[in-house]
Amino acid sequence: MQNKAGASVVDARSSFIPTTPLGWVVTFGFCVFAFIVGVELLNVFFVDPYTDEPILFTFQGSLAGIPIGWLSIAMFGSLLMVLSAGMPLSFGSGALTVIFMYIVGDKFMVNMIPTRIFPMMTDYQLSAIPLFIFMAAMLERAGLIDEMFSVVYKWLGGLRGGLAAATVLASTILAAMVGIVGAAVVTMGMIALPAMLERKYSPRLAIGSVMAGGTLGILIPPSILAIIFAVVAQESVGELYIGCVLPGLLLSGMYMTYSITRSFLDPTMGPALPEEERVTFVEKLILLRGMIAPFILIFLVLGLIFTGTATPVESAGIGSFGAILVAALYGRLTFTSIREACYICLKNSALVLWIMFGASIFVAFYVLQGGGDFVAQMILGTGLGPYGILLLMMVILIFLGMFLDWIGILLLAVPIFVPIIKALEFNGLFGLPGVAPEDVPLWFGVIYLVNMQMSFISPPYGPALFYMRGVAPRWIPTSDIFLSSLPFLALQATGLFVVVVFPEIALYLPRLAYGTGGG
Amino acid sequence: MTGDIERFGFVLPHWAFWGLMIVFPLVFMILARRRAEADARKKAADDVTLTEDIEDDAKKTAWSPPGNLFTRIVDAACHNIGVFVSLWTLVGIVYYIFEVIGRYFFNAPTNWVHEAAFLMFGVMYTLAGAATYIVDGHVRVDVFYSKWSPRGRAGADMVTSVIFFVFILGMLFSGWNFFAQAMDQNALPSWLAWLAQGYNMDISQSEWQVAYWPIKFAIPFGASLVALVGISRFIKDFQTFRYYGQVQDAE
Repeated sequence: MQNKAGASVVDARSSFIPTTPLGWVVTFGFCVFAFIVGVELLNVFFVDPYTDEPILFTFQGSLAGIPIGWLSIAMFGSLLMVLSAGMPLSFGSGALTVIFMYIVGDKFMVNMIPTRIFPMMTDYQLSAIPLFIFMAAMLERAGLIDEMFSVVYKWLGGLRGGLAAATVLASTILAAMVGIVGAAVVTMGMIALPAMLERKYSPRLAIGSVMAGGTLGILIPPSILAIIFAVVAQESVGELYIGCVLPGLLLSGMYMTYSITRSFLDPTMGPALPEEERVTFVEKLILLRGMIAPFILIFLVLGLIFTGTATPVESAGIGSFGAILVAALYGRLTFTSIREACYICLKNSALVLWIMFGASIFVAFYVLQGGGDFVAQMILGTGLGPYGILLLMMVILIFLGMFLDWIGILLLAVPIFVPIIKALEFNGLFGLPGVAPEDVPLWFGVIYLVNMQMSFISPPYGPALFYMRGVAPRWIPTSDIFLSSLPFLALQATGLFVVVVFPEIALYLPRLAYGTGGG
Repeated sequence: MTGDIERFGFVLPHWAFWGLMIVFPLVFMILARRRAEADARKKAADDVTLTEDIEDDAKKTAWSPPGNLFTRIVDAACHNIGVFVSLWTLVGIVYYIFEVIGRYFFNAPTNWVHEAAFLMFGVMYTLAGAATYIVDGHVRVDVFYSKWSPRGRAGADMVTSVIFFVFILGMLFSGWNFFAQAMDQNALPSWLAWLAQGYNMDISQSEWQVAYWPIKFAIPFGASLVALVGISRFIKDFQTFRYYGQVQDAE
């Protein structure tokens, strides 16, 4: 009905004069901004700032010499404003950088932008991002993910809470092939969630296990976030990958133990599969045949990285090739599937890289103005010990995680935090051994990635909650989705605490693989 | 091992690197289209099913701005450029396979694979910004935005588009200067000399010595594609805003 009415009024093509209050607000806002930008453009192109008078007015250099405290408030305040107005993070932060470069410095300062963008375009490590995304997309096209869940769930279905544990286990295996969270949560939400709800699992346990399992994608290698962290903090991608293996398995084990224990205590949370749906042990072994290809692929890619046979980037290339072979094996290799996988890879890597373009010039400008020292002095000035500062940083990261997207947090916070962390000494908590100074950045990287797990499922704005809302059935209220994340958040906080107290969990494997003093 | 590293294998000539970037996606796209046409003929020969029509009807219930000639041309062009560059991923995969096989089975590492791949991917990300923006792939902070009405969202987009153009213009002009400084003004023919601002052709510092100016050109080119998509989105936002405003008035 409404459509028909709408179509007829649009055809009428009435005048351009606004008729609603919102129309006036938008017209007014647009005209004011456009007028200011228009005048400034005239000034940029036709006026020499050193000799001529500006046309009408100019803001160029009007904030020169502003104290860094006020500049921090102005920059982050305006960033908050444009982001709440719904601007994409990449364009919003980039635009504010251009504006602040112009009003704090002058128009020539804008030429700094490509000198920051170009090194990122031509960064060797970052070329692993499109390749790992391609690999994941290709495996998804091959139907491997559905296959894997059906196998794992037949194996574990007989246990109470077994399907929830199976979801976590399948997510963990998936995480070893996929580097991003969205894909895992959405896929498992579409496959595993209906399967669990159908068998009378408590919706909270079911949703929580899908979300918590999905977030493992950014911790367990090959993680895209770890690549970006390594590039920003100038660490080795390979070491960070190995360092994340044990914490990732630790968290995964905790989720599974929680699901099973909880269901044993209260069988209504997660009933075991009825006898007739279970399969015999022989059938289970036969089912494993479907898992051979993904396991070979995982061991090939991670093995190449961990033995140092190939760099993470080369392994990503080989893994992508393997994914194409797997797709061919499953009979899903067509022009269309390849083109679709390429396009998904393009979209996701452009999304990541453009945020890097925008946010990194924002931070580069802020640090150039002395922002890094300002934040360092403020944090050190609190008089907290090293572990207190670490805790403060974790709280800040979790807080940022409620609003900002993960790449944004990384690019805004890590370039400022890592120098502070490097300057501190961590001598261990509760009389336990501490962290050697050269290992601190690696350790911090692992802690950061574990922390980011929490930001993904923390209400009210964790991204995984929204992916889940998109795929969960309508009858599950949003408040249930929020509540379901709480026990898993507590598990993640415990995991984070354990990695802080026992740094060896993060540092043991890298030392084994790359020798001592890897740092 | 270190002694063997000296034995370099095949080195990809520059013309083959640039040629592959242009020819491979074209060939792939032509083959894919032929295949799709063949499949469509086969399907037409079989009985036609109605499932697609049903799906189309479902899509029609949500109103979307009609756009105009400009938005259709820009969106189609940017989408196709996106598809074109996305196929370089396959070229990159082949490069890495070549490198690893060459190094481990023939003791012949290359000195060009890594550079060829990351330069290609660099151009890919930059030119892909526009294609991603067409499908609204750039993440937003959904705290308030997702709760607004379609009309409110279109209005907010129109106001913030001014700020968006500040970034794109900044990137476009600074990127252009960056590109122009990578070219030698004396090496170009006189009718092209206005393009260049530099005093030597910028090439990579590695042994492969590939030219950098086409890579640097991706920055202003990518920015102008995003600017075009930004204009196209502005037109569509304007249509959306007016449409819902008039629906409101009519009620």
